[in-house]
Parts: sequence; structure tokens; C-alpha cells
Amino acid sequence: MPRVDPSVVLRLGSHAEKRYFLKTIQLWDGLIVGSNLLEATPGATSSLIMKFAGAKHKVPYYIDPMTYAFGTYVERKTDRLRTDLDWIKSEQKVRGSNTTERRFKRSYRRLAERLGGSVIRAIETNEALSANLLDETNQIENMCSAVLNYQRSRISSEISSWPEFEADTEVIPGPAALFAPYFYIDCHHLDAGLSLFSACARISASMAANEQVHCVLCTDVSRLDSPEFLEKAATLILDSGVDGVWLWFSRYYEETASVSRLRAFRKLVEKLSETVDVYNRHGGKFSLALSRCGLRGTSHGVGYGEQKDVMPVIGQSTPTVRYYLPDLGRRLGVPEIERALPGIGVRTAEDFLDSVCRCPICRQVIGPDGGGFSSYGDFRYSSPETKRQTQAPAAAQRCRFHFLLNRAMERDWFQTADIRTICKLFEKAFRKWASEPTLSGDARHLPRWKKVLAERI
Amino acid sequence: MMLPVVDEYIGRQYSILAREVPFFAHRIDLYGYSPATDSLLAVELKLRNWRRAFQQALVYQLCSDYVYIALPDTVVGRVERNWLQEYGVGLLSISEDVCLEELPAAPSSVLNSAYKASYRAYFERIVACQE
Repeated sequence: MPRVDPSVVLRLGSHAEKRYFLKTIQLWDGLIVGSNLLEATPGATSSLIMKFAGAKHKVPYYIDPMTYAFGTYVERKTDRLRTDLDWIKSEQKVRGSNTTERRFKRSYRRLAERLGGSVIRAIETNEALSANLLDETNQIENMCSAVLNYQRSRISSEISSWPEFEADTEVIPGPAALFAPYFYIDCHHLDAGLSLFSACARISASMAANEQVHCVLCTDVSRLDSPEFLEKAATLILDSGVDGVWLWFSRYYEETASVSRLRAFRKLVEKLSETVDVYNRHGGKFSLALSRCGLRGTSHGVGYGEQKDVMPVIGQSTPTVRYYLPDLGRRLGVPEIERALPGIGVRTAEDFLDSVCRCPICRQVIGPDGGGFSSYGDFRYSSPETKRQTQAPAAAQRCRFHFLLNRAMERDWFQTADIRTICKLFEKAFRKWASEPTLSGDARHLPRWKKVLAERI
Repeated sequence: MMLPVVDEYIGRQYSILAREVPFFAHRIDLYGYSPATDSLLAVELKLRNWRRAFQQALVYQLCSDYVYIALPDTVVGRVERNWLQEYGVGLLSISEDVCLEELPAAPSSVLNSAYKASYRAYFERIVACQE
């Protein structure tokens, strides 16, 4: 199997994250933007992409067409198949009255209007796209064509409409690869889902023979338990003619995944990477390690997003951005880490920098007496009336920059390490932290990671 | 209801008490301060999961001189006492209206003086408000 240099493609989740991209863009191998964000803020998003992908930085970019949002989905609580597209709707104020109405989010409606055809019909009829698309001639061809064209031209059409755009001097680069339309393959309709997936990948690859075309295998984590499914999916991908595939197993969390699921994921990567570039749509440190088994890259957001469920969790408050503990490759609470520090021999600032992290943010935050670590977890009352505290924005910012710098360093380290060295690293980290009672449960993934990686030595 | 029983017991030595006191993302169930001894005491109450209580208690040692976990007397028998002793976490056993100290807490070896100063000020503000 090919051993490849790992890459990290950073996902822009909102324009509030712009500062992280501005400061760190040169560290990343690519940038990915969801088309819903692009449609919500076309000018700002296009401008940002132009800035990063332009002559100065030349960072490759991808536009995620997000077509799965127009497909059927399975409601988590009830396991019921939903076809009403409700998850891309929101309560919106009715103009001129005090009432609200549940309508499609503007970004998705605009995206549907741009994609046209069966996608806009889905919005108009409140009926999700499904494998029935296969029944009508040209439906999939039209959708693939629209989705590919959207990615090719959306940025350039936006930018070239600006009065200050100088067509003679400015070159607007295209995306690094075009994504075929993709939908969530639900466990109750596997054959139909795989057929639609295969058709979208195959047709898109044939329509853009001179460009890089990637597909997205989007399904539930439980499919990792099915060798038959994985075998069939791999065969379809390899037969489709695409250049790359992004794997998105909803609810697949590297830190909690069982050995058998990690192993199945690794095997799938190995098989596919013989022929196509393989990316994990949401992955972390284990994904970087899997570059030794052929995983070309991984994608995540600036503060979280190393895992993402296909079905969004509605009504959840903004998660606290916790401190990324490099040894364990996961984010943990500040006091839990601080309590464990004496146990691993950290007494001074220099000890901290030697044993935990020496990134520029930590060097600045920890301070000469070592007492600054708590500022990663600062909380505050967001208003005088509230009784609940929320994370201070400055603390969240510190955590994000610390994480991003570490992620870039990890990516570079994994480029040079072999599997044996990586396994030693995981083993050493486990020995160091697992005996600390406030973190012991948070280190258990390391032996699993090591086991799955070591199996191929 | 364990809290009033523990309140009454802790209140004998710690004259200023507060409930649900935030510490990072945690909330300390019962937090006491004694101006006479300048010491802070935290109690984590749990009905069943003593291991979780123990983990939280360890975290509260960063901001407290003494830390206890309080459990119903029916649960106390399951506790690995040597774990608590090793880390200096005390154990309170609660029956209907009685609070018994099964294990004393040792002074925290990881107390962060900055946290202590901050919570001392917190309790002083409480007293000032009451006055």
C-alpha cells in the first residue's frame, strides 16, 4: 500500500473563524468551504477564497456542494426516515407580523436555485431527493453537470461581477478537485443508496475527465461493521473513475471507536489508496497516522470538527473549546489536565513546556511561574443578568490557535515517522497520562490506535 | 435530600457556605470557607457514581484546602477507600439525617494559590452582601 505524506485541509465553518485562517493559512494543504456558507455570504467567502488561493498563497481550495442536505435522512431519536427536508429549515420571522414560520434556510434555498433541476424541485415540493432519481433518464446527468459547474464557476462568477475586478490581470483559480453530488446512504436502503452514490461518482468522473473529481462516501459508522458493504463500496469507487474519495462515517469518532471499526477503516483506506486519493472528511491525529497506510489527508475545523455527525444536533449550546492535549490527541478540560500535571512531574513553566506543549501560544500563556495555564479555560458571565458562565472568547481563541499550531506540527512529524515510531509515541503517551485519575479514561484510545497501526508491521 | 444534612455538618467549621459554585465548566455542589482558619472546603455529592464523584473531587483539590465526596450510606460500602486515601480525598456517609465522616480529607497537595485567592474574595463578597 502507498505511504503518503499526510495533508490537512481546514474547513471554514463561518466567517467568525476568518482570523484563524488569516494567521495560519500558510500552514495548511488546503481549504474547504461548504456551499451553504458560500451562498449565505457569497461576496465575503469568494473574497476570502480568492485571497488564499491567489498568487500570493496558492492554497488549494475545495467547495463542498453539500448535496446530502437535499437528501433523505434518518432521525436519530426515532430511527425514522425523514423526507421532508426539515433539517435545512429554520423558524423565520414573518415580515410585518410577530409570528414565525418554518422555512428553508436562505443559504440552502439559494444553493438549490443555483443547482436547479431536481434540487430546486425538492425544495419546491418539500420532498427530499432519493434514489428514485435513478428512475428518470437524465436526472442524475443534469444534477452532476449542475453540481460540477457550480463548483467550477461559482467563485469566478461572483468575483468577476465586482466593479473593481480587473479581468486582464487577475486569475481566478479553480478548485483543486470537483466533488460529485453525494447523499447520505442510510442503513435501511443500502443498495439504492450505493446505486445512487455510484451513478453520481461515475457520471461526474466521465463529465470532467480532464479535471480531478472526488466522491464522498457518506454513511453511518455502523457500516464499518459490514465487510460486505465496505467491499461493495470500494469496488464501486474504484470502478467509477474518480480520482479521490472522502470518507464520512457519521458518528465515527477516532477516540472512542472500537478496534474492529478502526481496523475496518484502515483496511478500507488501504484498499482504496492503491488507486485513488483517500481523505477522511472529519478526522484527527489517528487519521494523520493512517497516512502511513495511504490516507492522503484529513479535514477539520479550527476549533472542533474532527468528528461530525451527518445529522446536525439541534438546540445544542455552543460547545466549549477545550485544550488540545497533544500527547493524547484530544481536547480535554483545563482543570482535569492541571490536576494531572504534578503526577507527570510538571512543577515549573519549563517542565510544562518540556512535557506538555511548547507551541508559541503555550510559551506566551504559561508565563514564567507556570500559572498561566488556567487562562485556557477562563469563563465569564456573558451578561450581568445571567447565572451561567460561558467560555471567555479570548480563552477559546487561545485554545484554537494552540490546537492549529499543534496540528500543523503533528502533520509535519507524521510525514517523517514510520509506523513503529508512531506506535512508540502512542505507547509512551499512554504510559505518561493513563495513571492520572482525572485523565485515565481519556487515554484509552491510544492502545487501540497502536494495536490497529501495529497489525501491519 | 443529602444537601441539608451535609450543609449542617460542614457549617459547623466553615461558616460561609455556597452551593453550585462554578469552577471552570464544573459546579462545586457545596463549597465552604472558614475565615478563622482561612481554609476552603469542597464537597461533591453523588447518589450512586462514587468514581465520578472522586474524579471531580480531585479537580476541586486545585481550588480547595480540603475535599470530600458525600454519598448515601448504602453506597459508601462500594468505595475503594485506598484510592481516596492515596489522594487525600475525604468521605462522608449520609443517612436520613446524619452525616458521618468515614475518612478525613488531607490538605490538598495541588492547591493553586491563585484559585484560592479568587475564591476567598468570592466568599468575602458573599459576606459583604449579607451585611
